[in-house]
Amino acid sequence: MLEKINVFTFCCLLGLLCLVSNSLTAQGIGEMETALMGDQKSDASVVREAQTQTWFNSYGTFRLTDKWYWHGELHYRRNESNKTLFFGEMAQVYNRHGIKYIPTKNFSATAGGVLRLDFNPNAEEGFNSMILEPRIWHEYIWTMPYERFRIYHRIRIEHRWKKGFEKGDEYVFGNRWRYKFLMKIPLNKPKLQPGAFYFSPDVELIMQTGSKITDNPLEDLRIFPTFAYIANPRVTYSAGLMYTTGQTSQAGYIYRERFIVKFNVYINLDFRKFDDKIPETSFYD
Amino acid sequence: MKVYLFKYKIVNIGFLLVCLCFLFSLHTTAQEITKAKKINDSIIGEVFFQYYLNNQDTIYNGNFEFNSTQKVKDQEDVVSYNYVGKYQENQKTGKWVFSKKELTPQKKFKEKNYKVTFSTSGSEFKINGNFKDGLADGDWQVVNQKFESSNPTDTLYSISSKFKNAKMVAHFSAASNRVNIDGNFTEDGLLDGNWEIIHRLDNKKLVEIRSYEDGIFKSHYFLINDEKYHIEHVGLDIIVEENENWVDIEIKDDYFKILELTNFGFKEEANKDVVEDIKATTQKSNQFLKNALLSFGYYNEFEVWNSLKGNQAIQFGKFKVRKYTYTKNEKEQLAKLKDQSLQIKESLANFFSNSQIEIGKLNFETLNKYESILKQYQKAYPELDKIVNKLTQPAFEYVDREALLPKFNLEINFNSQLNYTYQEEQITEKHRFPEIPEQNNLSIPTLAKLVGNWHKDVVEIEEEVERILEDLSKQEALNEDEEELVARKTELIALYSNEDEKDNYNEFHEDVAEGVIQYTNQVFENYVKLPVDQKKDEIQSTLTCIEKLLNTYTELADIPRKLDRLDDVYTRTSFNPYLMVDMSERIKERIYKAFEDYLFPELMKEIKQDIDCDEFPKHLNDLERLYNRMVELSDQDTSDIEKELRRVRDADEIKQILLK
Repeated sequence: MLEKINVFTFCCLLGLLCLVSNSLTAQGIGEMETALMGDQKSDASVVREAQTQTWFNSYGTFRLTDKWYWHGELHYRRNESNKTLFFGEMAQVYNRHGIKYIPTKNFSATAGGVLRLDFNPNAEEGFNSMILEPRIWHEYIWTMPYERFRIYHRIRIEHRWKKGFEKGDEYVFGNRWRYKFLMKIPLNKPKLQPGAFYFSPDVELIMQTGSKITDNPLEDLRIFPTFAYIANPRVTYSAGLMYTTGQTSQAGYIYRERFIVKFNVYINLDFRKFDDKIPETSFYD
Repeated sequence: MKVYLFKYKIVNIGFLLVCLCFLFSLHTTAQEITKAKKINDSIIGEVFFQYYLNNQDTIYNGNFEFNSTQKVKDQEDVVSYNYVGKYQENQKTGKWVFSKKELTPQKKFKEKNYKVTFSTSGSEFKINGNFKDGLADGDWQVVNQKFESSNPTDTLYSISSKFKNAKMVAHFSAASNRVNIDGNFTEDGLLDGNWEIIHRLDNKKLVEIRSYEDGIFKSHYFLINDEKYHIEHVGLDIIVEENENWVDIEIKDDYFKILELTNFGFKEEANKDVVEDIKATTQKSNQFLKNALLSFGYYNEFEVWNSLKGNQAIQFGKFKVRKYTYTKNEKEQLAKLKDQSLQIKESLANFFSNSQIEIGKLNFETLNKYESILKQYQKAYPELDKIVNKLTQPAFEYVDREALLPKFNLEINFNSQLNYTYQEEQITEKHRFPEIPEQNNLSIPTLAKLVGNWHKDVVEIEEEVERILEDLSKQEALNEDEEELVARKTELIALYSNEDEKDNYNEFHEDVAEGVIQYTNQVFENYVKLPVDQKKDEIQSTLTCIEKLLNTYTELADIPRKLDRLDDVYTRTSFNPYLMVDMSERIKERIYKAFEDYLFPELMKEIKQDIDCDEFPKHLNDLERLYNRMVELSDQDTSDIEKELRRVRDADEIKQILLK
């Protein structure tokens, strides 16, 4: 029964992805925003012209003890420029670190800090070309293993101090409430194992709260269908085009859209001593 | 001066006399001793004797007494030996008495002077003799009496004779309940004149006369109603002629055997019924006469006088007979004939007591044939044995063989046509038995030839039978092994055919099954075709071969487990915290692939190609060795090996690298 429900969920997500994709193709990104702005209907949402970005992300999980890990992420993100889509100019460097606790193979909890460097390559007078955004974060992941695929539920909560590029801007504290649903479905192997290509439908909803958040609690909805390859137990690569949309801080009815090409590499290393690496179960007869 | 000389002489003579008296007194000083003594190596008793010592030698001189009283083991009976007599200078002299008593104590007893005495019943053998200078001399008497309550009740026999210089001389008489003998000896101790033997048989009195002349047997007859019924002694010469070899023989030299050999009963056929069993009667005479003559010096086998110190005391009566000395050739023939006859007897006994014969007869036709032949030999053997016994006894040299042998009736008949049954089939066959010599042609050579041929035939048959029985026992010994061989072969074929659909039957069995079954059948067929002799040599190796092949089944059954284990040991599993799954990966992939992709398939190919007792297990051993090496390598630093294996595809080369 449960399996049927999950298959159903998966089909719905795929359908949603296709719908968004089709509507974009039919209307065109610029046309849609212009049309909405022109009508000046206060009860209608306005969608800004979509941005394109490229993210190069590396995710590291380093095992320290039997159940404790060091989680480290380094993201290099570029933004489109006037001349170049996706890769035009520097956008962010993102550092996320935390200590991960994995008590069972179906649950993990992580807590740590983030230091994001936001770049403003075209900063004018009175604006900073780079600002820092610190965060405290913690997340909780549940996995649901099935015979042919896995489902992951991730809840991530971030407490961040955010400010604008303008000089003299103060940090404003806010919270982010993130829920992510994703699946990993191996394509050429029966399970997730080295050599396996897998497809990962990934949807994340990011909500925010804070003193400055009034009518824009929906920060981002990310839809990210990914194709990945498990090179070995230590390295996995994935790539995909992520679509995101969410309310802007400018006004709750104004939505932004992004298309982000993501290249991810996942590195898992075991820093334990050799003797401690012996698996729990014996391979020998 | 003369007086002085005279005085000197007197002194000298006196001194000499004193010395002589001293020496004499030394010489004649009698000593007595009573001590334990063993005579005849078996009779322990107490001896009392008087003696003196001469140069440390004990010289018996004076009275002598010996008494041995022994209880018969596990019985109440008592046996006693007693000697009483005198010695003079180590020689028996005067009256001597020997007595042997076999007594059973009775329940009555009485005490006197603290000694308890029992009355007894039994018998006493007693010799009263006389010696002179150690030789029998004078009147001698032997008595055997029965006792009841310590009183003589019956005399079993009494014998008396006169001796002179140890020889029996003059009159001799012996009397028992059934036979009386009277006769005379010459001064030289030879039997002489008529020896009258009176038989009392069932209230009938028979008088047997044996006439001697200076020890020479002259005639032998029964006197019934004053009529003589002569006994024929064929081959016993009674007339001394020139150039003949006549010798004195004593009783102990089987004289009476000569008489028995030559005794052919009454001369006249018509007199046969005069005495019911003439041979038995004369044999009784012989026996009694022999025992009577020997009784002066023997009690059964016990030498009465030779058991004591002193010379041989007695010569028993002597006879004179003609000796027909054997030629060297005859001696050899007789010796051979005796041996061969004994061998024949032994071979026949072996054959008919061998239980394997009965079993062998079921499978070997010749055993039935040989049994048929040997049965005839067995039936005839007593007759052969009888004549061989006659020919080979010492007495035979004192008879005229030419006269005696033709009188022997050789009742031997062989039927050359054999009839026997084999596996319910009646078979008739001919066999050439030894030729039986004609009665008038009986001689040592002809009898030697008969026994020789008989022996040869029996020995040949025995050898052949031995060979057959050996085959039989080989076959029996093989049976157990062969049963095992068949069982093993069946088991092997069943395993490789997967008749029982065993769980451990796998693709590797399937690959070689046809070859193994074919090879097993071939091995079995080759063995079956072998002759029995070679089968015995080959059975163990054939069994070993099948055993080896059986082991291969187990080893092949273990291959999947081994491959799984290699897969395991060459796999590392670790937890991927990103994907949150346990993830396996191959380690030392080059080694594993070299084994999996090249070496193992090549080994399996070789196994399939070389299915025999040696190569098949050898290849599996190689596999086992490589498997162990692979397990070993999984846990070692193999960077060098992996480097060497780069681009290597040849199985042999891979094998060499891995086994370095």
